[in-house]
Amino acid sequence: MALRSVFVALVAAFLLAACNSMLVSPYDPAIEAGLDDYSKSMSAFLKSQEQNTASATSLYSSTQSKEFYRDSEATLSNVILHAEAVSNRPDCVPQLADNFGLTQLISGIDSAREFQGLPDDDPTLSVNLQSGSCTVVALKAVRANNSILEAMHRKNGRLSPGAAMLVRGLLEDSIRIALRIEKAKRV
Amino acid sequence: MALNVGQILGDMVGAAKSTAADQWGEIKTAVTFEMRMLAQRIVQIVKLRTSGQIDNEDAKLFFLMARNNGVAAIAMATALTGIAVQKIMDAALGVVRTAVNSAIGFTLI
Repeated sequence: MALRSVFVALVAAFLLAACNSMLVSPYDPAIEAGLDDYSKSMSAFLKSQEQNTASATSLYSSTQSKEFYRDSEATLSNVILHAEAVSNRPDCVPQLADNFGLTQLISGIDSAREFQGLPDDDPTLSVNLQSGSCTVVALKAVRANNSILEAMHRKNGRLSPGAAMLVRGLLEDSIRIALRIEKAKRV
Repeated sequence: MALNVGQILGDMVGAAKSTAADQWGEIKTAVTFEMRMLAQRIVQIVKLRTSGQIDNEDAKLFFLMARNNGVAAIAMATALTGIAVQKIMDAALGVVRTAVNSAIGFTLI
């Protein structure tokens, strides 16, 4: 009788574990490596923008800039492809995030955006929780922010030191968030 | 080998509680850190705009980046929770693995 109860408990535990394993895709070293590569090239590129503001190489039209945007887009698209290949969810369920009050925070930010007359969501520049699994959402946030960097650079021709520094900080935030998810799967 | 439900339950709950406490602390720290960073970035955007270093359109693009990071932080909190639940289950089952496998005569867990 006691053994039967244990079996019931174990089956329930396995079912629970099976359900939970559907929440997060398995660790993929290619994702971490791709993010590391992007982080290094982005940091070098933006530090150069901060330091050489008058140089021709800091122009959007320069060969260095074109190469960076071409290569970074390729790297990030490849990383997202890897994440989507092992993804087991079509979206990121923010149940616990609700408990943190985080979804309300985003609603607040979105309201402010509408109030400020920001353009409607451009799929290449923004991300939402329906963009894929939680891992995919975090990675798409990195790519969207990289696209915003390019849009800003294209618009201004070159980045001011202050703008380059802030965009680097925001991109480092995006990368750190995505890396935190992937590293947590590894441990 | 006879199995005692009370003993197994106690071991499983003990392992689960200990793992849950660790995992919860890590999630809380990570989420709090990212929210603080988000707040700092928004303040930096305002400073750059009010000092004339960027125009309105740039400020909006920066704001969109911050917003993307907010969404990513929610995704992170959700993913870390899923990973934590898996670890809690693994810990709970891990402490009774030997006893259960011995009792049943094959590697069940």
